[in-house]
Amino acid sequence: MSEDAPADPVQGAEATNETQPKVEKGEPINVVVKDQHGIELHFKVRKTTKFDKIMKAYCDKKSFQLNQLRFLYDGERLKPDQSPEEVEMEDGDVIDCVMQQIGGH
Amino acid sequence: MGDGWTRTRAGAAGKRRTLLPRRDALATQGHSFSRSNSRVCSETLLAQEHKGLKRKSDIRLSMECSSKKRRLEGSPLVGACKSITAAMSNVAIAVLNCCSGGTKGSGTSPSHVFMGRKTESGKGDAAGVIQEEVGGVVAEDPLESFIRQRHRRDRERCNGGGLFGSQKEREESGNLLEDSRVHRERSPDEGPRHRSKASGSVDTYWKRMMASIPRFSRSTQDGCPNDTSDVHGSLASKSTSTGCNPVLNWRHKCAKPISKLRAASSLWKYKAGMDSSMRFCANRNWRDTPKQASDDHVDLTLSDDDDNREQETAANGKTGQGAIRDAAHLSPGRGTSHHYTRSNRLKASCMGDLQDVKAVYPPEGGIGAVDIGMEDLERLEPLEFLNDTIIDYYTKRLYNGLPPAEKSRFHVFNSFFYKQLAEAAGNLFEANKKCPGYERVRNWTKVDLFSKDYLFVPIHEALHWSLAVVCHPSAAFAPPEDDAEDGREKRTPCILHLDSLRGGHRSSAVCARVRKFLECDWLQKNHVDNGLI
Repeated sequence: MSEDAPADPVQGAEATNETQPKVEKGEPINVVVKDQHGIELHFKVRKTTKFDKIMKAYCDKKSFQLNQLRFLYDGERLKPDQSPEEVEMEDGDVIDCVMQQIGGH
Repeated sequence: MGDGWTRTRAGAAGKRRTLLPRRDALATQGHSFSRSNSRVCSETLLAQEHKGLKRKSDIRLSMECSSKKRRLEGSPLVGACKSITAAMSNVAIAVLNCCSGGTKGSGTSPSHVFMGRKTESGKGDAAGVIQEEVGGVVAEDPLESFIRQRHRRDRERCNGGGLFGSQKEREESGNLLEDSRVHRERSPDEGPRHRSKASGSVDTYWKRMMASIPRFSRSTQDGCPNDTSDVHGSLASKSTSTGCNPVLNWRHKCAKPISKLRAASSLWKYKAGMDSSMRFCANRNWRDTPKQASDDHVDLTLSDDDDNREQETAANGKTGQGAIRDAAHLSPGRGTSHHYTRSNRLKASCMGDLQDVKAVYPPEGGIGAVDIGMEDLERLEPLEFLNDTIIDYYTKRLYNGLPPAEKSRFHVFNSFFYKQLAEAAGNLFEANKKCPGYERVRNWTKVDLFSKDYLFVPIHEALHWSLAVVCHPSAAFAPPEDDAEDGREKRTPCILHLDSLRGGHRSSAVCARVRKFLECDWLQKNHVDNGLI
């Protein structure tokens, strides 16, 4: 049930060149993406990784399109260009994944 | 937990005498109460704020006070809340105006509100807001050009597929219309057989053909003005005077359950208002005749023309061919799809590059900002469903538009908030808990809900949006106050459920869930009984 987010090739290249940036980026944290039925999917990401990557990985895993899903952290929408650092996410925090809601009248 | 509600009910019953004058005053103003002991919340501030936004839709209202359900209709507060729901659905105004470009006369161009920072005073002119920054990226140019391009495309489609494509055709048709009128005046004397015999030259063929198309003959008989500027101008002035787009008028009409025919005719009317007055006339007459109306389909006129074309083809061989092609031109929407089928329109209009263009609201970004993309813009087209992004955007915009002193009185929930509660109630593992769903949304509200006067809960279920408003949640749990202490009368907690659709969401379920959440939240915040949750 757990899945690692694919490593960023750029980050990987930096890490091999010098160890300093890797330390700055911090240790990876576990992020849980939970859907509306309570099913969880675990991701291990760095704090600076954009949510874009998590979202895409989740969509691939669940065979959804990205625009059909909304990712909420504490009830607020996450944007793909944000990172866990920006929203002050901590280890083990849960991202709620909800379906797009459409309705009339 | 539930004591607060019952206690308040007792309090309300005790104070009935003092409330009577107010209710009487309301009754004299034409408000009707289904239950005589219903109570009206005292705040009319909302009513004053949102007076301008009232909508004539049949909004079913139910007011739930304490544990017993009581219905009341027509109170000022309910009116205010009704207008707030109207306002929620009126989100289309802002963004549609942005789409349609020149909304002259509107105080601030909504496009800059929608898009973000404005660098130039783009009052009324869409061209003025070209240089805007969208989420840090200057992406206005493609968006603007896309909107214009689409506008032009619509216009071309309506003109090309419309009654009169080019100027030349229009002149031709004008003459033909006159001819056909002459022909029609003469025709009752002759029988239809006479007419068919008379078809010799191309002219007579045309006359016969135009007469055979019912739309044309009727529009000329009714003296519909051929001058396009008249109708166009009047319609334009009408739309500017009411300050909203014809699309929205149409959309609001559709809020009532109306027949397909009326929807179709309104649709044509809207299109005519934008593009060709002749179609507007034709449409008006078309709507007025019940015989045509019986077909009950948007494509009614098309099928008529198809029949004519087949008949004429059979009758007139080669000479008819060119004219027939023109006749196909004359039928509105021929060749281009005027069905607003959702999937097709979405597919067609989501253009590759522009799909990634996002506008951020509020413009400064931050946590909880709403990204609005081209896909969401498409949702504002007629017959489309609104999505959560639009609802969230507009509730945020309404909230941010409040004066700073008033902001602390209101709280607007996320559009997913209620869905989480409802999902939890349906979940096998969570339904048996004391408070299903509270764990899910526990961290969602950082503010103290019980310091607010009104809480707005957008509700989505089964392809339908409605709104619940919690009034004075603190009064349900606070100890009873003495009447003499405060000059104001005691506040009654209540939950209003505003639903524009009859038989839409179940008010009882909505109110029960929201009340349960509030009870749990109060217990949690006040550490009364942690074991309960």
